[in-house]
Amino acid sequence: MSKEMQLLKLLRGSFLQVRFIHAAPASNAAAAAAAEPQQQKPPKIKTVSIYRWNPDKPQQKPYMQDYKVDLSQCGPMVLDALIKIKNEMDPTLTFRRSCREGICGSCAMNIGGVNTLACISKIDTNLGKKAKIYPLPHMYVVKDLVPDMTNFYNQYKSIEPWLQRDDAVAAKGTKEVTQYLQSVDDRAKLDGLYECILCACCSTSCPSYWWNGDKYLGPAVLMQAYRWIIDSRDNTTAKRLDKLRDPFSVYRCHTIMNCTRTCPKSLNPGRAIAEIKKLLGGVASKPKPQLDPVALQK
Amino acid sequence: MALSLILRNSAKLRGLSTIPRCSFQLQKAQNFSHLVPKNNANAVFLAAKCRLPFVKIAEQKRFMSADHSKLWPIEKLISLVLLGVVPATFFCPNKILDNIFALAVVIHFHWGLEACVVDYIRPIIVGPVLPKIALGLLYVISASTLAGLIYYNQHEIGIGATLRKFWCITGCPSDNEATPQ
Repeated sequence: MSKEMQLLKLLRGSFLQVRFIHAAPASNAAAAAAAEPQQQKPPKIKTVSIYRWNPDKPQQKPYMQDYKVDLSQCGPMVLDALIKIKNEMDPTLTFRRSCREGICGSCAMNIGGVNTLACISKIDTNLGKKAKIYPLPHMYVVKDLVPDMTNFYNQYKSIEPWLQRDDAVAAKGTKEVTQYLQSVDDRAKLDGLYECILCACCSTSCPSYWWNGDKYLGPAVLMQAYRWIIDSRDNTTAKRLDKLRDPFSVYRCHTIMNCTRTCPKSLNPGRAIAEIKKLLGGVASKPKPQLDPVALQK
Repeated sequence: MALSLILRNSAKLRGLSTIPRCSFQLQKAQNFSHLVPKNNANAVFLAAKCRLPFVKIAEQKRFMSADHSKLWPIEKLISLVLLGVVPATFFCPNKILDNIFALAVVIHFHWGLEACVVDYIRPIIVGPVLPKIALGLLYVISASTLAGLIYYNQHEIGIGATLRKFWCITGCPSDNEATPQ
């Protein structure tokens, strides 16, 4: 026993040290909290320049309005600044936002010349430079930063973005169509395609879409078209491809690749369009499904 | 609370049945001419003339008669062929290679310029006639270029030999005379 006591005494110093290390973050935080009221963060004033246009005053041309935002009192993302401006300075500022974490695609806009999502792009902390925010380029503007997406959604509708089969029959004795089988490898082909949130950043960055947005489907829609073309469970591939054979739907893509460069989800619409062109040109063909999708119904 | 609920549902209270039809009509008929300033009547006039209602376009039948999918592999094939034909024409100039070079280059240029014409001279901008004239002009230019190049290949020294002649240019005229033809 006495030996153990001696050992404890010897190690006392190191035990204390361990305890001190564990306690350090907590005590530091407490000290910081206590000090906060006394020393305020120095203001970091950033000028944010935002495109304004009001449909109720159609005679007034669109203009840029500057707002001074204190970055030390604001969240790190551009959307935080926009919300701060709307809450505290100008309630007439209009923009779309929803999830504030880059999964809904509502807050797509042109920030500093790049189409991206306001909620996942950081504010440039260089205070000397204005942050310039425009709506998505070459779209009809409904108000301020809100573009009209009707044409985009109609184009998406036109590719029939849902699973289609000619032989969708109900299993014996039931009225429900049972699940379709798909192998892991076939499912892996959809990775990098299904993640698209249809924010239209890519389509509105594409010069071909700017010039021929009425007839050219644009990268976002074409990537979704490819997502359904390549799905092993969908067997209307020929019908889907036939819809795209004309010179405008796909072939206005000149592989400028702005779409891939700007995609806020780091997807590659340019590659998907190239795959569609290969399938249309007969250079490649859709591989046979590794599992028979309707095996359960037979 | 009650007031806000009433206000929020006032549209429903007015008559449920009419709402979906009304909003549908609104969306269908939505064209943006009222947003264009009146002094920009020219653009409105052109848009009307080209019959391009912006919203319904995605639903309209695309150019189903034209099939570009056969042309695309040929375009890519010619691009690849050019990679071989250009150096071959340069290193061993002869009539056949010269003519293949002329044909491939002119077709390649033509498709590139055709894309420019289609992209930049659009009916929505310049009216329905000018794009057709521009495209026709492009065909004339391409055809006459091809004819000229083939004539040159047949009656003169040919493209490959001409390219090689650039290396015969030197600063000193006496060198030029010394170079064998």
